[in-house]
Amino acid sequence: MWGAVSDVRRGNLRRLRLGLLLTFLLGAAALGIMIWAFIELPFDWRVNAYASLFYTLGGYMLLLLVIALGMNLFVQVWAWRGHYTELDHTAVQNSAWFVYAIVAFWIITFGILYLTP
Amino acid sequence: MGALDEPDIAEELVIEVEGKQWWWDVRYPELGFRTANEIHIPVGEPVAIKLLAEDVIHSFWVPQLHGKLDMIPGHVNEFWLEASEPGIYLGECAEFCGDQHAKMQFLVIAEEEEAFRAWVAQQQQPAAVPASELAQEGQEIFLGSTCINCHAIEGTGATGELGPDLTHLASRRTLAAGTVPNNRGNLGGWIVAPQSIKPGSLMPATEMTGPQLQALLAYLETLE
Amino acid sequence: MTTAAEEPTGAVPPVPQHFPADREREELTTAEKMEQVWADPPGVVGWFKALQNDSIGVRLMMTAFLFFILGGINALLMRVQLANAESTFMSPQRYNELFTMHGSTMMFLFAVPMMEGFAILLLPLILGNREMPFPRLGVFSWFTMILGGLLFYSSFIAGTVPDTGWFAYVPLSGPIYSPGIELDYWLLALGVAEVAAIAAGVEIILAILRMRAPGMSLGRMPVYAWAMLVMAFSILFAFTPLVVGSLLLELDRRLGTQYFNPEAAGSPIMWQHLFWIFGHPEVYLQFVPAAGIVSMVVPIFSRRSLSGYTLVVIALVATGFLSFGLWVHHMFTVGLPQISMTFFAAAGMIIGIPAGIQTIAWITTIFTGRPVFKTPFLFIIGFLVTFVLGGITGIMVSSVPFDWQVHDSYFVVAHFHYVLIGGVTFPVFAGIYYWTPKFTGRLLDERLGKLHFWLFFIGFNLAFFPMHISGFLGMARRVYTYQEELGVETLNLLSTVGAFIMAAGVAVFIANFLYSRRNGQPAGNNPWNADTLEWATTSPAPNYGFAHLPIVRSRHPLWEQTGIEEEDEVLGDTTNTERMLQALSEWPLRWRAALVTGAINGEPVEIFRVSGPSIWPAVAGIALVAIFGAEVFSLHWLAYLGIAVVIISFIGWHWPDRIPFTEKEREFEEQFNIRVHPTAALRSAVGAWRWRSCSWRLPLAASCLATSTFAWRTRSGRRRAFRRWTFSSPALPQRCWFWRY
Repeated sequence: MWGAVSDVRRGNLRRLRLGLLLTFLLGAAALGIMIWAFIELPFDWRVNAYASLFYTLGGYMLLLLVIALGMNLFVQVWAWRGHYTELDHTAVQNSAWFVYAIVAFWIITFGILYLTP
Repeated sequence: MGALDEPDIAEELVIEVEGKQWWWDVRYPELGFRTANEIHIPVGEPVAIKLLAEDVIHSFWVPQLHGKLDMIPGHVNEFWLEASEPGIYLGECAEFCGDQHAKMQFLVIAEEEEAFRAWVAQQQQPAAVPASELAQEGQEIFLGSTCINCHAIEGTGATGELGPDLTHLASRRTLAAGTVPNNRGNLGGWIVAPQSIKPGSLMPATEMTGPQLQALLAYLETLE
Repeated sequence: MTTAAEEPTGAVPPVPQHFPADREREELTTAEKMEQVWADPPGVVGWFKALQNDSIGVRLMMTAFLFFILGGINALLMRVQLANAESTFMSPQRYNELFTMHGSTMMFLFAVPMMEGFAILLLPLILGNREMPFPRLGVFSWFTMILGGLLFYSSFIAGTVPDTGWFAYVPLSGPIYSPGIELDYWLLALGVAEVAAIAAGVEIILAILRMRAPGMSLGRMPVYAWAMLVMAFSILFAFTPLVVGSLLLELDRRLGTQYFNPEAAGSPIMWQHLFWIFGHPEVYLQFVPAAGIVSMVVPIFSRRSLSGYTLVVIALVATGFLSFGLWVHHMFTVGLPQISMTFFAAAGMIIGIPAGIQTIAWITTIFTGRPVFKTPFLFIIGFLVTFVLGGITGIMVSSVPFDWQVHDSYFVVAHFHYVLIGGVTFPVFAGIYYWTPKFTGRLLDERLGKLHFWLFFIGFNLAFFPMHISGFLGMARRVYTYQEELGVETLNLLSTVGAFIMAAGVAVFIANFLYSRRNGQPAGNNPWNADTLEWATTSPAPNYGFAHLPIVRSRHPLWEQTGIEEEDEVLGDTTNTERMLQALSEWPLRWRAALVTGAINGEPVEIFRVSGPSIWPAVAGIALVAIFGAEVFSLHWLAYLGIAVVIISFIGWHWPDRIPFTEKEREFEEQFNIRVHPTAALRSAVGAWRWRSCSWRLPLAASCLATSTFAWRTRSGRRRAFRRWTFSSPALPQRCWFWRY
């Protein structure tokens, strides 16, 4: 995603589109893995507070991923149609920031759910 | 706590108080008895109070003796207090616990050593055997009705734990956790129409005829 | 022209040439055009689309005042019940509902929206700009807030009113002991109002940091703006734990999670922590803007500048930070470790210092000034008396052993009403009397204002002072009645009488407000001879605020700036800026242009386009409240529909309006060396992180870490974690003292 933003700043639109597409595919793969992981969980959220927390935080990450993919989709559509210029690409920057934020949240979530017990 | 060192407290002076909606379950584990809504302590000696809660958060507060401390489900709080003067001290619940939080009071009665020992000895006895016929009839009514689902009377086989222990009901000064004085009229009203005294309380109304009630009251009055 | 203050000490304020009132200029057509561009669309649909900061700010304030009245009615009914011992005026259930609604209304639906309404209404004018940065966010915030509040009150109609107090401790508010939907109203309806508050908070931060007049550096910013900045940051950090806690409790109630169940590794005390991490900053985020209002009114009515501006600003910021380190003082009786209680007791006493600094600054200003005893000033005096009393009892309760006696008794009820009514409501009234003339063009009546003040002040003290005593006598709080033997009946009767006197004062105020709309004395531009920028516009102010944006060269623009100067300490040579602002007052007249300035020095950075009217924020707000409301009643189909509508409306809201970047824009850019951004991009306001300087390795590494841990979790890692939990004891791991419970 970072690559996509720096590309569009340099005016290289083709690489912007590829960067966005790559991000989308990675994100979709991550989504798929997360959903599969949830289905495979041996416990239900009612068992105890840790289980509740696992489902809640995991569910929140899922939601964020879905939103990020949605944003990415819109930005991609406009990128492929050629809406973005060197100077005017705020939406790309915004969705990039969102992705970075999700990564930061995932690191924290991972620490809470997997490292602390 | 802090500057005051925790004193050595005799095991037998550890009192467990469990807050329930909306009354106080008082236990003296070492001395081996259970009472409700009234705590007796010896004057001039520190006692330890262990606070538990069964349902929601309550708070144990005797303004004239000590600050308050919360009773939280799943957690035991403990503190000690000492009464320097004999007397009857009013206590109340100080954390909103539902409909009748306002009428969840208790009494702490500080008495001289001999009086305290006498009270303890009395509380340790099982329930008095009813002497008069009316009282015996009352006991049968008690054992045959829904009362025993919640209430216990030591020595009769009634072992309900949901409500206050009634073994020495007549020795207490108040009813319904400090709501009304303990006398015949109030006790009768409490049995047949508790919602008129303490609306929302968990004590159900028990239907009985006039004579049945009289017998029951006669029995309960013997439970010194 | 005026009935109020004479000239201030110091510079003689001349007729302000620098800030021409637009309606008096010859170029009427330009002003008319600008008005057209900035006005809200007419009609019913236009009302939904309207997003002018004037209308949104007023709507927020009116809504907040409506809830103030409703909360006050709750309180009056409570006082009737408590006037006599063993009163049977209402059932215990009804009383419990009333005190819950009273507290929740005042805390969530009156104080914060009122302050945010003040901010949205005033900040563009005080800061010397035309509009808030995200007007559509303001619309969304208002719709969400009023509908959330109405959803909350609809619980009365449904007969299922929340009844576990405004802080809803678990387990009483949990699924076992509150099985009905009452608490779901509390959690969900207030939850959506909290979202509204956070949205407005974001907007306020950006307005203060990036949209000021050129030359208004941070050191020249009015104290009110500083106060709002602190408030808005506090909102962001304080409301989040509450939203989280409400979410967890709602999950416990509806989905069977175990967050607060002590038998399944949950903890009731965690709710208290989460709630009070919000709850304590919440009261400071109500007090800080009130202090800001006081810092604006006191200098004007003392006819001198505020003494100790720097110290007051530092005190405000310190209050904001410190307020996040105090929350455990609400939990002193829970049985936490002594060392942690000591820390929080100390913090609670330290926060008295910034409050004291501000109080001394105000008193110094008054004593060294020449006070004018008009209604706004009377409310300030009332504030000083009551807030200081409340602050003193606050320091008292910050001491742990003292708190063990008075916590959850009427003493603490007296304390927080002194600080909240004294510290928040009095300044709110002062602000209303002070600023209403700017927005209605008419002064509020002085005699009615004074009557309002005295009724309110005397009634308040009569109502709440006796509570200190009844608390000491052992009257616990949240009790629907009390025994005669307690000896507090007379005190309670006095409190009830006082409460009704307060209500009479509020009634006088409403009458005054309604009367003065038509018949009040015309105010003119600057009836109080004040020094801040909002008084340079006409009364009522035009929709666009300032056509010709001012350059600010001092802390007291209207008192000290006399003419057009070439050099300025902060901006340097201002001729170019002056010419640019002149040009900006005549162009563009097709789209809403506002100026973005630097955060610290206020130098002009770019011209950007403020969003125009749109129906989508209103739709989004209505749909969001519909989602939450649907969940109260478990109508899941409606919630899903709401989600779909929200997604669609967010898309519609952000759909780019492509305003063409024409020759005129380019000319303007070249002539004045400033970026023009008609596509509403506010990008420099969001972040100035220079992309080129940050290494690509860091985000790449972070992404790799993320994706690899996704793969890793498919291993038995999580199964291992779970096993450790199920087979060990149900207590949480003893990591830190915090989570011992």
